[in-house]
Amino acid sequence: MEKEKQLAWMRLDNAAKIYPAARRRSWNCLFRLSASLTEDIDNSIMQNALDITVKRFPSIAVRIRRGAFWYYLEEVEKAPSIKSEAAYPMARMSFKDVRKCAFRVVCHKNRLAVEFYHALTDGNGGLVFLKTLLAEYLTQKYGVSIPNEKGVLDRNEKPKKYEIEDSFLKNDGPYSSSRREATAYRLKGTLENDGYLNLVTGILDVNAVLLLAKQYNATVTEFLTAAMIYSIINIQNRTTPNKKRQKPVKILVPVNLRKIFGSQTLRNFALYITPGINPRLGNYSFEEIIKSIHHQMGYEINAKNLASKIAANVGAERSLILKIMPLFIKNIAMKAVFNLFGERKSSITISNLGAVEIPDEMEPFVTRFDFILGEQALCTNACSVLSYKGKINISFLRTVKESEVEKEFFCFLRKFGLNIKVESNKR
Amino acid sequence: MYCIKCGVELSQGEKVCPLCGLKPYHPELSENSGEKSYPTSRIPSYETVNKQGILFLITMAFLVPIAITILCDTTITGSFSWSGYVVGGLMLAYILVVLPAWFKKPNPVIFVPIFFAAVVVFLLYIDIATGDEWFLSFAFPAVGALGLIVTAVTAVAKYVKKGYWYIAGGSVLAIGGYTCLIEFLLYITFGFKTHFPWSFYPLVGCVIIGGTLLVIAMSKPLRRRVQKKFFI
Repeated sequence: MEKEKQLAWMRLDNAAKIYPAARRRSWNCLFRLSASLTEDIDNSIMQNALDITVKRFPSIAVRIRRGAFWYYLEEVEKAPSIKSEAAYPMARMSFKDVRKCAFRVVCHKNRLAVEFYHALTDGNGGLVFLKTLLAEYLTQKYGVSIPNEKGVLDRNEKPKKYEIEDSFLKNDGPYSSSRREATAYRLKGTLENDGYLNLVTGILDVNAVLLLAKQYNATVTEFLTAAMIYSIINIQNRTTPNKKRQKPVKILVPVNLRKIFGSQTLRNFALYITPGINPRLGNYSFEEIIKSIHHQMGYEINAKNLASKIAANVGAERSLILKIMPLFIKNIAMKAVFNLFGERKSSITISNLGAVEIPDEMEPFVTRFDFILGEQALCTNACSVLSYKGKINISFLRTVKESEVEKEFFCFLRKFGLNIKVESNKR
Repeated sequence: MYCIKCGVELSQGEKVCPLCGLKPYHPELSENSGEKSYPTSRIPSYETVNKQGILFLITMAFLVPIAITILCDTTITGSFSWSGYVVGGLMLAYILVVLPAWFKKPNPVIFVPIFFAAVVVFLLYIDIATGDEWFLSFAFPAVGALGLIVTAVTAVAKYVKKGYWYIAGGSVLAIGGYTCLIEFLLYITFGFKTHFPWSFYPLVGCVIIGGTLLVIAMSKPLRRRVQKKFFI
């Protein structure tokens, strides 16, 4: 008798554990990475390429399942079929869907997009998956041979152990720092009643932005973060004119830990920092803000400090009481913690994936990359940044009708003389 | 094409500026044509809280005590006696709170009289069950009159968007008149006799307050002075 195939399974990594617990009726934290090609995509070749690629990614081609004490990832038996695009990116993925397959591949004309449930991987891991899938597709369609470099993996290889490790557990520091933080200003707006997600993408010249950031002795992330803080302070001045009642404006900036700790994992390995400005202290000029943000980031981003933050998260996971708590009670506790602290400590997220590099052989076929961070549980807006081929794409996704944040942000950047091309899915 | 307000370049297919909503227009340039990057007509389904499901659960929560009381009553006394009052009370609460929630936009002008009608029916049941005779001469006119007043006030407040001072003054006067009616009904039904009519006191109070409100309603300068003095 033939033995039934044993499906591989693995634990959720440390950062992923919060996502299934914090989920809401129709909210699961997603993010989307997409690539636009020169020609329209052939869906049957893409399906073929996907079937081959998923075998190389045992930590991404998975679904979420429920254990008695923890959720776990289980390999999917076959790759999901390719979906067609809807009016907005990241249509809700209910938990029912996540239990079938926790990612989806969406093709629209010349654009290939992969939407990941955040418990599987972070932006950098997802980018490796997208590049490898693209490489396989281009190989099959055009017969180009693409070297396995710059984030493209060999599809014939067996998955490496270091790719599916939970790097958090290896890099926790000896001391765990406190997670206490001040509550930040929250953006407000009128929710779309049918759940429509509004996307606005601004396309800028990367060199112009780099030059501008250099003038302030800052990196691009620091410059954009400072510009965002400046914009949100302006919004808060309008909604809460009384300075005494204003709240700190803080930005959640995810930090990729792979380079800092020398990891090559394809699972979540990012932490966040929340640089910010307290407008109660007085009126800040943009120069003051960017200087402060530059120093705050420099102070926060170093291996020792981040290791102490990891230790705090890992410590909670290792506590015996939490371990033996049945899953449904654990969910209530974790959700309560998430609701109380999770998104209340920042006004908006700016996730910058940086410059995307692909093998030279692929470049003529790929015109554009995009990164969109999904709808958040409480925060009405999310901002994500990525650059490719001299262009920097800043995407804003929002659940509300008002485009106040984008408008304030882009109009502020306009004052520096930058040319901004905007596109949207405005109905 | 550029937005003249925000100064940003609009990508192909952007009919209006996605930031400020302004429609770019130039007499010598054609409209910004081309396809957008998302097919805006395909809107995915979106799961929200199922109102009907919650209402069904609440209905069940009402049915459980009703079933238990009837069961207890019939097993203890062998007949349907005191549980009728409990069931009637619960049904009244249901009609007042839950029934309107079943509808998308419940109209108070319809549901207020329904509630008062339900109260009248419940009182009729009590009257018959206890064998007294106070329904026709007291309960029906008392509840009916109150129902008329409340329905009239709700209807006027809902459909007439102006003249809230008149409505407030009128309803206070109506309540004053209602107290007189109550005293009269008590007298003819139960024969309560007092040396002088007590309803005179609330009536005087209501007439003073209601009259003042009507005077304010009629005089524009007075209304403005009141608003200036008491704004919050």
